[in-house]
Amino acid sequence: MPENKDPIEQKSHVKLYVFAVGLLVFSTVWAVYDEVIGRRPWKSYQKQFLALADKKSQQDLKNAQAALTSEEYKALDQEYQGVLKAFEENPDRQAKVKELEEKDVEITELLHELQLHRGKYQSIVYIMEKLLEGEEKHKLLHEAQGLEPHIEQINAKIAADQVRKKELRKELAETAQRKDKLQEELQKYQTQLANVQRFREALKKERVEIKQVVNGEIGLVDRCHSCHAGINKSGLDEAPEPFKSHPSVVTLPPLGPGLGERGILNVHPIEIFGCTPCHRGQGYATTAAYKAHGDLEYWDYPMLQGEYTQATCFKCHDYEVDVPGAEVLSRGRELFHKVGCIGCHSVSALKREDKTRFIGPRLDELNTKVYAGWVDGWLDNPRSFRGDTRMPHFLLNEEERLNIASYIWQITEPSGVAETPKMDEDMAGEGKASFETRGCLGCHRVGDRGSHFAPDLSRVGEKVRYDYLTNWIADPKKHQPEGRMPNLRLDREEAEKIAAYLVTLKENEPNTGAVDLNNAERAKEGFKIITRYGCFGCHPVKGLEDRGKMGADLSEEGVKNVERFDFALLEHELLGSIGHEYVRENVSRSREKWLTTKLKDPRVFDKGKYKKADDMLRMPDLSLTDEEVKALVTFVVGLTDENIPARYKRNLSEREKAVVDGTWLIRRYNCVGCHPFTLEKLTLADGTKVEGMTKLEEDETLFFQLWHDYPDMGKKLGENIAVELDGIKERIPTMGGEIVPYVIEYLGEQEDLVPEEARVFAPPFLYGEGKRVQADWLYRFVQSPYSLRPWVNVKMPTFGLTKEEAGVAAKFFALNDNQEYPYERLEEREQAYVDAERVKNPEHYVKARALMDSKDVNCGSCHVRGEIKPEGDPSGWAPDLSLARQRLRPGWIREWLMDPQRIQVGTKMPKFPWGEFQEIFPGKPEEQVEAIKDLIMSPGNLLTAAPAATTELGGSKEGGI
Amino acid sequence: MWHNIWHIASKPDNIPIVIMLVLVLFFGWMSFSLGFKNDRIRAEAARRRKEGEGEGKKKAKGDVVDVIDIMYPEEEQGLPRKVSTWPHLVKLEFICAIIVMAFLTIWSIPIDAPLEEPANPAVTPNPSKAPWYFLGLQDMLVYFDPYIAGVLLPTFIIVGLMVIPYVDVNPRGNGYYTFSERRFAILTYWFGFFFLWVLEIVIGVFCRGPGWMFFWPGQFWDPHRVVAEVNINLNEILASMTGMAGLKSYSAGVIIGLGAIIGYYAIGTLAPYVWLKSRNSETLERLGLIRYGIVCIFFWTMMALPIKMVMRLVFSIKYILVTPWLNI
Repeated sequence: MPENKDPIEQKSHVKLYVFAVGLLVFSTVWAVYDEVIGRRPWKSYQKQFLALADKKSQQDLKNAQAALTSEEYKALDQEYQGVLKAFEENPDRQAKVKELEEKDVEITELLHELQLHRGKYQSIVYIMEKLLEGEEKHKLLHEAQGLEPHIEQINAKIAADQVRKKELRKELAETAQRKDKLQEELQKYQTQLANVQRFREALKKERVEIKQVVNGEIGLVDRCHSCHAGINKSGLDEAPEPFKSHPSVVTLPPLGPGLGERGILNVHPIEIFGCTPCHRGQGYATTAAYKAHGDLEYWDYPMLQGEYTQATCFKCHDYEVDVPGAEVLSRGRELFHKVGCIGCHSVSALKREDKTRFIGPRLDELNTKVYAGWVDGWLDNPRSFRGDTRMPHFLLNEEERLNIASYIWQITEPSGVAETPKMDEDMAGEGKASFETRGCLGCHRVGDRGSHFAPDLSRVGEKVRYDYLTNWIADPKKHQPEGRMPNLRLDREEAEKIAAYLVTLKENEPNTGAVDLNNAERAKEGFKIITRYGCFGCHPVKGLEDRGKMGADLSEEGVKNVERFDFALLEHELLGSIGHEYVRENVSRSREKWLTTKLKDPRVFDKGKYKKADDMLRMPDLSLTDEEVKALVTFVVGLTDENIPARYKRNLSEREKAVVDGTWLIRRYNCVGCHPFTLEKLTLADGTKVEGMTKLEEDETLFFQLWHDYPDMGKKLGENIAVELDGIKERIPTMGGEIVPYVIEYLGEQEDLVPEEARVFAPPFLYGEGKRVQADWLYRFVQSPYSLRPWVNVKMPTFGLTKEEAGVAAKFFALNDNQEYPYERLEEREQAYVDAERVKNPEHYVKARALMDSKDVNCGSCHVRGEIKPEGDPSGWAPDLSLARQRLRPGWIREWLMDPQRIQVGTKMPKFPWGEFQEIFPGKPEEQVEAIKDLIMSPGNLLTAAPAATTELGGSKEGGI
Repeated sequence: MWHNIWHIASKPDNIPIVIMLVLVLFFGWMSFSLGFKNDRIRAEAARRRKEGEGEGKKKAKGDVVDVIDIMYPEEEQGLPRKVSTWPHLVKLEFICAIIVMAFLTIWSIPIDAPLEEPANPAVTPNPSKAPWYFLGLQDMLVYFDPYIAGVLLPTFIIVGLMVIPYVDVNPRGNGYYTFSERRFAILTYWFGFFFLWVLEIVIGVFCRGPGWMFFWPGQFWDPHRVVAEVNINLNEILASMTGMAGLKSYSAGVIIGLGAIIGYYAIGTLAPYVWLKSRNSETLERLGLIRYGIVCIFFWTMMALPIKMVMRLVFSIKYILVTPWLNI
């Protein structure tokens, strides 16, 4: 038997065992903690939120309860009680109520009687109809006929009673207005309290659990509000994150009276949209904030931050030009078109912009248009010649520039430039006067005056030849059919004068020296360079119209795989500057960084690279400001080319669509350069919103003319208010009318006119144009304008609009003012109407004419009527009334005649004291106005016949046709 | 440099690889060191027996039971030859199990299984790596034709492992560590397991970057890196070396390739046979011709991998045998 014990058997492992078990227990406890609490931060957030909401609602409850015992409430209640008492004890009201009740009783009785008689009548008729001819039949017929008048009588009585009832009710409602209003006010306090109580009830029932939004249609599972518990609740703007309420972003009008203004969550409710379609991120993550925000490696859609959040609006709001709440995005979209990105880069969602992508002029007539010596300077650095040009800088060397110039020079066809006389000094002076008054500054700029819309002409004398310029001004569309410069219908003489003025605008003498651009070899090289850089993306060039776009397709740039962005050798540096090493660490930040870097210096990614000339980057330098870059990057980040289900997209109503299309059109052709379109909108310090026009702006005060009634402020239309500039919360200026100050300024200097007087010589204000003019007249007018206001020197040019575009313009104005479109029946223009009126009152038109010609009305003293012109200087005349039949809407004429100041504050048209002139035209004011309106709209020459012909009263149908 | 290594090693996927490497190295060291120790003791015991020294040496604590105790009956030792599995082994296993459980739990709490980029059929991740247990095979694909590396060689590995018990005719080394008594088996196995299998896994994890290019530890994994590697088939090399253009043809390739392969196996089989026979090897007798042949085939196929690797990396030789259906 063994005496020694085996050390292996002897060895005790208890210590090790206890340690191991302890370790296991510890690890289990830790695991349970991690699972229940550690990985579920939303529990603690929700508990915190419930505490916060409880505290706040307690405070609200106290406030609401205190409000019910406050002095204000008591006073209001007292007032209400008083009014109520007076209301109930009002004898007049009581009488009316009694009458109403009596009428009710009466109607019931009458109905009963009617039923009896009618029943009898109908049964008799039934029997009678069935009988054959005979005495019985006749007897019954007579009986029935005897009943008829009685039945009719009862019916009439019932109808009259009901009319009276309606009247009474209306009157009663009117008297109850004050009481109802007070009651509403009182009710508000009660509702407030009830709301808070309801909120607290709901709060008690709240459980701490995962909260999610699931939407199968768009594949959405969002659990964001498991932590962001206050996002959908109002009143938590001051709460700490993550409990803050969602900001309203936009202010939308309330749905009804007494309801609050709406914000973005009212139109994109979380229950349907969730959060990630707008903010991106990993909606279904719950274990940590950074995971839910998508700020981790490998997630393709990290949450967008700051203004970049606006990027996602585009995928649904792709039709609109100005997306409310997404100003940066809208600017980016606008820039994408304006700066010419669309010329080289396709984006499938930009259909409208794609059709108008050529931002540069056609180059087919260059060798007759410009001095040969100018081209090189331009190609070398366009911005040094013209600071606001959209032509980017291609960084070409001398050889390349010469080659390109040669090619363009040699493909040019002669433009048929006619012989032009030599210029002289006087012509330039007269040309300047024309330039200032014809409206050129509405689009163009000279020095610091004018618009940025069309090229800056400050140095045009160095560039363009006089003879070409003359032809151009005389008929631009002949030379640039796709261009936007319209035809001002000037005669040749005036065009020469303006051209003579323009060639004096220069800083240096033009380089008229000979430059050899006729080398065919160079032209061949030039062609290669042009195809390399894609000049045809912005300029239509003969022979290259069918070429595609040079740049990358950006339709999916916002979701393109991040590895496909070529950081070249700058990856480490660029990603390092945002604190990352790899692109996948935060896909959104990497993408934004790349795009921002690219736009600021498009060829920077060639730095350090050893490449063949053909492989070098080609995108030119656009000299964008930081703000423009941010806007463009925001826009591009939103390009996803997703398929959004139609019902989730912004579906514009017909009116909204017409307004969007119209807005785009008036910006495209720069109607806004000459015409103001909208009223100025101010939000004052106390939140009131007013609309009107600025009368005068001083250092600290703004004098503002109101164009609506504001009974709450105690102000009527036409009155002025003085507002401290500091106190204005928001100011949306008038859209359009850039040229108006220049016209006023020029006339103030040249002819010593005050602004009110000079305003009349500027293009008209188009606010309410849809209400004023007939849609089909507008449709024709914009395609072929003619002079309506002969005293206005500024010319409405012919834009060469297509029929489609003209239709867009007409529809825009009409639907913007909620008018009928496109067809309407204007009966006043029909002979049948005239005849009917004459039947009612044979002297209707004669008297109307007399009224019009009467001493105190005398429309003809200012208004032209066809051939009949007023006396005095044409600058004091008013529009031709004979055009009104085709042009104006009768409803507008009526409103205008009643009180012109309510439609156009400050107009020279006086407000006539309708209601007087009884001896000329007896009747109510409305009837007088109606008659004049009828006269203006009448067919034939009732309006325009010479005054003597219509002095015969009782004119027959033959006269006046 | 360390940052890069840490970045790869700390990925949740790769932490087990690091642990595996550590464990393999540890157990390798342990087994070899114990083996050497036992060999020393045995040699010492043999020497003492020869010189007739005393027995009954006192056992020091922690000593492994050495060979003597096994080879000599227990009566002469005063100690049992074996200890019972229950409870002595099982309790140790139990404690190990508890520690492993605790370790896994503690590991799983802070380090989650990784979730990489969302699956996108249009985008292939770069590098695209097989699971760790196949990384060795994936690396072989660099050197061999897919049919060989993906089908033939894995089959050989599995079948080879199955065959081992039948060709292992060496009775020594059961139940104790040794080296000198099982030199061939241990070396072959260790080479195949550690160098060819485990090290390949480690290379696959740490050294294979974008494009399956080789990156030294610490080198940044630049996906835009360009490496010039031009490999030429054997027959073309011979053709340019000898100037005989005819060697470039397909038939020449087949002939040369087959010749090389057959020659390789032939020499590999015959040369050791001759050598063993000359030493009157007991092993050879016990194996017999067939088993000897089997061992040779498996052994030389295994060795073909490092040989091919050297040929590829040093001499830029692409394929030995070139046929339209199969390349080796």
